Amino acid sequence: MFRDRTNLYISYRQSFPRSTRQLLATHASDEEEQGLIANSDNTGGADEIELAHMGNSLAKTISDDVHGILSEIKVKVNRLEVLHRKNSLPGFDDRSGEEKLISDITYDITQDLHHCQGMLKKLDRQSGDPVQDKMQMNAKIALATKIQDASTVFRKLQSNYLKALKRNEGSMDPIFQSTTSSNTHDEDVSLSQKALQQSQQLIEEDDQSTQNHHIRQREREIAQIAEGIIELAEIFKDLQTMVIDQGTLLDRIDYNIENMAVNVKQADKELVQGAVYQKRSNKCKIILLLTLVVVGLLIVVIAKPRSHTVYVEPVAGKPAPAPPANDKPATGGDNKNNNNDRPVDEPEKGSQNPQDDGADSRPVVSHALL
Amino acid sequence: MNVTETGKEYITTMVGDKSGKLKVLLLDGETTPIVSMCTTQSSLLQNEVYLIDRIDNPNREKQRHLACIVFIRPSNDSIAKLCEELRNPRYASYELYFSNVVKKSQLERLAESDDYEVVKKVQESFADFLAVNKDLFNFSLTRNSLSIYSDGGWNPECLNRCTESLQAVLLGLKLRPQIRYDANSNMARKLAEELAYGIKQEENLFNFKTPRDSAPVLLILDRKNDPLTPLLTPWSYQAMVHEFIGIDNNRVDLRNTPEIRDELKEIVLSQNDDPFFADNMYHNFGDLGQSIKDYVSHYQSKTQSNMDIESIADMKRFVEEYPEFRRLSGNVSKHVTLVGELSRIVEKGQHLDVSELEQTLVCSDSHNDSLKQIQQIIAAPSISMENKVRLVALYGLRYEQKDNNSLKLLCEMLGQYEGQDAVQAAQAVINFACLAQRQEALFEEGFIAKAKGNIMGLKGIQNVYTQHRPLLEKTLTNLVKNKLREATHPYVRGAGRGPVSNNGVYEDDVQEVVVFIVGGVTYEEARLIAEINSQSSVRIVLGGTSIVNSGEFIQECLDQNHRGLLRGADPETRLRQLI
Repeated sequence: MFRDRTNLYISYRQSFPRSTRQLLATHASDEEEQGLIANSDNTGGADEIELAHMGNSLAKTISDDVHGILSEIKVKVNRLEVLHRKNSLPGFDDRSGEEKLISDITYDITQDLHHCQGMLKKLDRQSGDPVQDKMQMNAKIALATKIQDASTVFRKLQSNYLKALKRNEGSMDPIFQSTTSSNTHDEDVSLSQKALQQSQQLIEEDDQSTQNHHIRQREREIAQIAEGIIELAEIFKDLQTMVIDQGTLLDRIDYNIENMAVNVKQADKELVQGAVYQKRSNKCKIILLLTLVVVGLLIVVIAKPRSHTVYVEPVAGKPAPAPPANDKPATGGDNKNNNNDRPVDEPEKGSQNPQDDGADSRPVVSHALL
Repeated sequence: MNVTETGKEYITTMVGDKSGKLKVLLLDGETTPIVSMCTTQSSLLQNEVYLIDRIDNPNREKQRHLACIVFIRPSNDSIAKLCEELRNPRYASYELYFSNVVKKSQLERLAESDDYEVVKKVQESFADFLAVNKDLFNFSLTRNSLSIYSDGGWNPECLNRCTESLQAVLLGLKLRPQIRYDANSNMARKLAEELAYGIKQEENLFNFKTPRDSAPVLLILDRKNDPLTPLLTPWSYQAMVHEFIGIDNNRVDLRNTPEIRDELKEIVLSQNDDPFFADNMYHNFGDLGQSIKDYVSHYQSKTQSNMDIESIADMKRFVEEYPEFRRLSGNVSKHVTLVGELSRIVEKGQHLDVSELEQTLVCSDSHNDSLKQIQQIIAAPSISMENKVRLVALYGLRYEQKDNNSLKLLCEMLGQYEGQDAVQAAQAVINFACLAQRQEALFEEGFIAKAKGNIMGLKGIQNVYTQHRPLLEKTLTNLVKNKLREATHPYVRGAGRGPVSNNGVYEDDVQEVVVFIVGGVTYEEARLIAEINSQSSVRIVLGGTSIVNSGEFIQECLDQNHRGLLRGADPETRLRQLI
């Protein structure tokens, strides 16, 4: 029992003068902008919305595509079923055309399923936004379930056909009589596996005994279907990891909502943390820059008087006493004693004769260290 | 008459639109558990509902390409949130569903906020109840430590909520019942009258076309008339889990279980998608043990067939079987863990001994033996305080009329071993449901009882732990046979319809019954209802303000005592009044 209140609601809605909308309209100077008002009040976040939109349209397009393919598969499966039924009846006319058609359609469907599975993988892309990811995740689960249903239908169809074909062969063997286990999954795959092995054996035997061509072709066909089933099983397995089991906590709506709230909070926290890190790294950069500047300036400060003394040196004849005198105030200001000494030496090297300098500068350094 | 199905149908009509548009479902605090209990995430996903969120979550993003389905309870708070949402719509279009009758003023407010005309549909879907089992619902009124009692009567807020929700249940089940209630209970009478008035107000809604052979009956009972069922230790699966661990909207929290695996810290117990639970939820502990053994051996045989992997072919087969196998293994480990935990608790708390004594207290007349045993148990340090309180309370209720009963002695002893809180709790229960409060005899007294006991003794009792049958059984048997007296369960006049015979009672047998227990229903009673439903043609749905176990029941008694009846009196005087 329910009650529709839409009409009452609409009549209420119409009875209200749309004051706010007119207000907004008068605010906008141009009348043509009226339609854009909804967008204009959130210009600040426009970029984000655009981004979010892109992420979701991914879910939307993939969902649409997969649905499209699934409906195609459904049509194909229906056609295949008709063909199967026709072909599994015993008869004498030539069926190679139909058989070709069957194998084509089978191949098509397998390809389609593969394609669907491939598309699901695209949804794995993380956007970094928890809500967005949740949405893509949900889309993936939903689509995986649907693809799986489709593949199960197809698989059943194929294994039935395979059984029918085998029965027609007349060469019934104990395997097929014994596979009356209740588990269809089990049946499907073991059946196809056996069929595959068997047909290979038969083909080998055929070569030896050079039996007629028809049987061999038939066997090959069966082998093909069997291969198809195994391939499908792999798709199935892949999808299974995405599907959530009915009746588990993961399938509870309230649990998921609580979880999402927690996730969002966590993401929020992480964002804040990230911002802090960013700020800190900015700070670090500035500190580094400033230190560099300080070091640079120090070099300049030290180098300048030195270059000055370099000019003085040839006149004074004794370069040694001068640098310590100039060096001391600098070392007093900076802890990095050794570092400061090296640049102090360099100008000397450049300006003076290296052999002379080697003998000369050593006492200078030791002096400075003392 | 299936509340889970009813709820599910409502949800399906909400999300079942096949336009291929991606959908978001917005819920509020009240509707989240409602939806959770009758449907699952995966079934919503099948309907392109890719996002489920709360309307009170302010951090939702604008997603203009999503169609929004809103399902909320028309409370003022939720309506205000919805107004806000409509003023700044985040999604492309809105379909509004309300879990109950929405007031015209509320609709007006919404219409006023709908500046962008985004609302496409407005509908009332009466799914305003928590469907626990297919024949059990509740309103979870005591959830936020809210008490339904206030000054010895209804807390007005709860009365309101109860009336509305019960009305929704009736609408959901398409019933316009005759309303009967416990004559001695003011609360039941008040609720019955309010509900009758509500039905009259919404005459159009309750105008069902479906023809019926007999008028359905809504029976409103008061917990105080049967205090025994919640006090006794239950032994059926679902009831046990609630008694010993606690079930909250079909979720069970196992975090306190020793050596628990991560994925089993919280589990879901629902009849809908757990076949093993559906089969065994009403079995008693012994049968349950057998079932779980069979289940495990079934699993074992599966494992074995999965284990002998010798060739590539076997491996592929294993992979193929894996999904079903995984589901089975998940379910097996869930139930094995749960039953293991139950048996651990039972053993540790010596619940079997306590339960046996409880049953003797209630079902036979052997004052002196029982008294001695209770004294022994009170003195035993290994038995929990709750169990002792329950025993004292049961003794108090059982031998209330006995001239020289030893309640005072027991209370003193209880106080000595467990403190005054325990005494207070026991007294609260006795206060709540003493003879003066009840209208029907719970115990068969005197000669007949003894005779009956002798016969029973000769026949041999089937199971000592489950001798007691809830009072509800007797009431329902009488009701179905049209033998329920008007003196104890009068009708509310004017709420029914159709042909009424001279004395105002339907002549035909009753076919459809909704039982509602004010003060909480127990899972043991739910088991009884399921039993009756499966054995006869009567269809019964049971509901309550909440689902109680013994602890919650005692808490409720304490609440009620605090908020009325004997307010102001200290424990000592209360005790004296009692004895």
